[in-house]
Amino acid sequence: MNNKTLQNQENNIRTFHSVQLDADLCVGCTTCIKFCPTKAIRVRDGKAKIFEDRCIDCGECIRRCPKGAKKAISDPLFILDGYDLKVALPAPSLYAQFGTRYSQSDIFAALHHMGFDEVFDVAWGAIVATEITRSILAKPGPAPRISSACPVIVRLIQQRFPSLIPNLMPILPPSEIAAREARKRLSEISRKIGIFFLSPCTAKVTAVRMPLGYSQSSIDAVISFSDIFLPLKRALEERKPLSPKKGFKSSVPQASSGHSPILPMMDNLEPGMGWARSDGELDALRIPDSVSVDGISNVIDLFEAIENGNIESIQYIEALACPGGCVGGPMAVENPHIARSNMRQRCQKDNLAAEASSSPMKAIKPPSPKLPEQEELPSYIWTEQVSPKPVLVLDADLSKALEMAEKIDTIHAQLPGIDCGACGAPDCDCLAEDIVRGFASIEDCRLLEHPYSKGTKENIHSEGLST
Amino acid sequence: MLIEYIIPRMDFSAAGKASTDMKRRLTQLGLPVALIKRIAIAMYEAEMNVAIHGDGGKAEVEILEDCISTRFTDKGPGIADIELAMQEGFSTASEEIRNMGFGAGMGLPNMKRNADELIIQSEPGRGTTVIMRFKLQTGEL
Repeated sequence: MNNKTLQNQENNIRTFHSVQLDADLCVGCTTCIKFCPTKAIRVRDGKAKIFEDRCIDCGECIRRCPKGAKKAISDPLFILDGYDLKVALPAPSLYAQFGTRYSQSDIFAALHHMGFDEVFDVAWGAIVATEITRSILAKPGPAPRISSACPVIVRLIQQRFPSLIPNLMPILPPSEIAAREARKRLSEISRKIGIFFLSPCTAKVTAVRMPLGYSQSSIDAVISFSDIFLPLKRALEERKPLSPKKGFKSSVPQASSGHSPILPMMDNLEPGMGWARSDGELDALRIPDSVSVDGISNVIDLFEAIENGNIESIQYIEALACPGGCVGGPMAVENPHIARSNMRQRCQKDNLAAEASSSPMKAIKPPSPKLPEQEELPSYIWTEQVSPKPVLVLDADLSKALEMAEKIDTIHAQLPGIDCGACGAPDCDCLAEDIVRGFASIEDCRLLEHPYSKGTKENIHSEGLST
Repeated sequence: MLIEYIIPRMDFSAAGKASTDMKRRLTQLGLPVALIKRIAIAMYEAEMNVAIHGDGGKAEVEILEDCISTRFTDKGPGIADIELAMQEGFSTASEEIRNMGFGAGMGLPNMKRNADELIIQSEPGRGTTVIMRFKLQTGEL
């Protein structure tokens, strides 16, 4: 009956999630349930089950699962075949997957080489988002303002911190800004354009299919770093082999359809590139009294403190769910610490090059990325309201909810309180709630009949010592 | 329903536990977001007062369908002049506490601003009891 209730709940809420379970690999070990920040996972019949309405696609379970049973679903590479003109939108963190041996233009060319007709950097969108953020911060509003660039954070606030919804920056994510701009610049082309976001982020896969704050995404598909890494690496090495063969001629960037690229490679994208790691958005923004927080549990701690009203004089918060920022994304390939360092070196290298070229004569500065006109900026603002998602509410009727809350407390008082997770719920409080909601029964508690301390001690003495 | 919290003395890492837990409970009950925010801020201030000035104590919260009542009790030094203590910027916090970013003299005024009713009973040497009531108003989102 309990499983039926669970099943019904799942059927009622048919939504897409990038984070999925590979049931064959899951051993029901309860590791993931402990780390899920929204307590969205239970173990039932020896397998993890994700409550779809609670999952915010943060990918924490992917990171934690010792068996690799949690998977990120992104769009397959062959989806490119369905489009005449293929546009790659590399997330800034893509560059961090490679050391500085490969320059921005190497990677740009390699993307062309592997079949993308056009490449447009998401870093451009990040620079535009920075401009808009600055103009919004100049006006009075709720404090502190919170960046909405990380889709996990928007979903976390919607579910767990609804009082902070007005504090969210109502700005489209950089990938979306870049996608719209690319589409606009290519509007002359009559062929079927496909815009592919190359991303390390599970939540972006979900956000493209079910956006929050805007109605329709301009991105056609999200390709994961893990899917694109090897083909891209191959393309990079074909163009720039580790040990150059004699007479090697680097192959010309080859677009799939003989199309010569319209979108140029842009210089001076470092402020946007920096968004790949935590602190990057703040480095670009350069405003006082701003805080950067990364890692979902750190974000939750900070948000709790804000809701308690004890964080003062902070104007802006860059909050990123993944450790180290987007370079720590669940679909990234390179170790997040190495990737972070790669990104730093890349930005420094670019800065040094820029300094070196400009210092002796202060000559020509490389062209800055052309930003949209001031009057175009409002088109990158959210068009839809983000409303609270009351998935935690026990019942819409207050007196019924109160009654349920009383029952939860009564049941909780009877449970061992050691949060062992053996029942399949992350903690005793959660099991008590599940029982009252009808998703579990008191029989699920493995320790109730055998008081934890006494029972085990006796067993050890009588069985363990005698043999 | 009635919930009780123990507030340890001077334990800054534990301070805020009661308000955070209450926030979770009230969210489960589906109460208006603005009301939950008011309660969280007021409770946090009261908790800090008990921890810093009151030598530790307890918080009791009663949730009814139309009203949430909180009572904070401590056996600390008490408040000599309640009217003076209510003034913005007035604080008896030590230099040490102020250096930690507390004791700005906004605690009681903040509680008064966020609660629908605030009652303070105190006598020097016999501790302090603070009662705050929050009403479920129609129209509050």
